[in-house]
Amino acid sequence: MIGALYERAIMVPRALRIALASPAAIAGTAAVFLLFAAFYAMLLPATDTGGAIGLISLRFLTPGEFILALLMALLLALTLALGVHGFRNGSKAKPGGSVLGAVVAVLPALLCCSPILPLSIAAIAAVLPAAGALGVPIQGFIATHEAWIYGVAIALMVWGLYGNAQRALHCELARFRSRSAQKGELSRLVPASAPVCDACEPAQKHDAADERVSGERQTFGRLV
Amino acid sequence: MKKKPAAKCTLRNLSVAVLMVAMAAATAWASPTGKMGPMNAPPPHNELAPDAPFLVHGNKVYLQSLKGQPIMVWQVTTWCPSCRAGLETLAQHKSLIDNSKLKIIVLRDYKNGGYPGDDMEKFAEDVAPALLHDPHFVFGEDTETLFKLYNPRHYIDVYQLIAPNGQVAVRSSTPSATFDKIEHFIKTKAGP
Repeated sequence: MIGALYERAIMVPRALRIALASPAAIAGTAAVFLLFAAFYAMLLPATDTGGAIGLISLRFLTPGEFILALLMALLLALTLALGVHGFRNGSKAKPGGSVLGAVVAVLPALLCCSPILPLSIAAIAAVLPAAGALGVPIQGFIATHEAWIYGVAIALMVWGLYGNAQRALHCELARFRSRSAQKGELSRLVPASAPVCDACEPAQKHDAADERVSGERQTFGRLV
Repeated sequence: MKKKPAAKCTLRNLSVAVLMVAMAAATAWASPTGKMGPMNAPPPHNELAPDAPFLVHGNKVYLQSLKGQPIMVWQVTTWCPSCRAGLETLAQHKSLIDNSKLKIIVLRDYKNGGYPGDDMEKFAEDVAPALLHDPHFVFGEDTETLFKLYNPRHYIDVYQLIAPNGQVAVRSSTPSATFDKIEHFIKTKAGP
C-alpha cells in the first residue's frame, strides 16, 4: 500500500525532471510561477477588501495567505509545465483537477464579501423570486469555511498535477517506444504486440496494461 | 493491434494552458475593482437620510436624534472578513476619528444578514476592543426598518456618510478598501 503510494508520488518529480529538462522550460515555468504568485497574493486577501484586487488587497496579505499563494502558484506552474510538455509530445490532457482547483481557490475572494453574489442573486431573483434568499447563506458559508475551501482547492490542484505527471510519463514512454521502433530496438524492449500510443491514454483506462508499462518505465527510467 | 503515432494524440494539453491563463485573466477582469457594486456608487444628490431606529443594548435609538452631527451608518455582518478588516482599519485611524466630529454607528445587519455569527459586542471586542468605549463609536443592531431602508440589496458590508444637514454624502462599502472616502468626508464635513 505504502509502496504503491510511493510509486505514484514519485511519478511527479520524475515527470518534472523530464518536463523541465531545458533551460527554456525552467525559465517559462519560473515566469508562470511568479505571475500566478503575484496574482494569488493579490487575490487571496481580497476577502478583506470586498473583492477589490490589486495593490489595495496586497496591503492585507497575511503570512499565511502569502504561503498559500506561493503553494497554489507552484502547483499551477508545475502542472502547466507538464501540460505544455505533454502537448509537445502529443499527450491527451485532463485539465479537470487543476482548473477546478484554481476556480475553487478564487471563490472566497470573489464571492464571500464582494457585491458579485448579491447582484447576481438579485438578477436571478428578478426572474425567480425564491432565489432571493440564497445570496447571504452562500456568502456566509464561503466566508466561514474559507480554510476548507482553500484546502479543497489545493487538493484538486495536487490531483491535477499528479494526473498530468502520469500522462507526461506515459507519453514520454510512447515517444521513446516510437523512436525505438524506428531504430529497430523495440523488439528488444517491448513486446511487438504492444500499442505504441496507448501510453497517451489516461492510465485509469489501462489498468491491465499498467504492469507491463511499469516494467517498461523502469527500463526507460534507467535510460533517461 | 494497429499502431497510432504519438504525434496524432490530441491537443488537449494546450487547452489546459489556455484555459488556465484565460481563467486568471477573466477573474482579474471580472473582479470588482471598485467599478461595480456599491464601492464606487455615485454620490447621492439632495438625498436626505431617512429616519429609522436601531438597537443599542436592546434600547431603540432613532437616527433623527443624531441630526446635526456628521455620522456614518455602517451595516456589517459579524461573519464577514471585510467587516472585520474594516473595523481594524477604523481602529488604525482612531486618532483621526477622535479628533473629528464624526460619529460612527456600526450596526449588525438585521438577523446578521441571514447567517449565524457572533453578537455585535463580541465581534467588536474580538476585532477592536479599544473602540468599544470610544465615544465616537456606537455598536448596535439593525432593526428591520433600518435594514430595509439603508440596505435594500442586502449587502453584507455597506455604509452611508451623512452630513450634519442630514444629506447622504457618500454611499459605499468596505471601509478597509475605501477609507480615503471616509477621510475626505472627515476633512470636508466633519472637521474639528
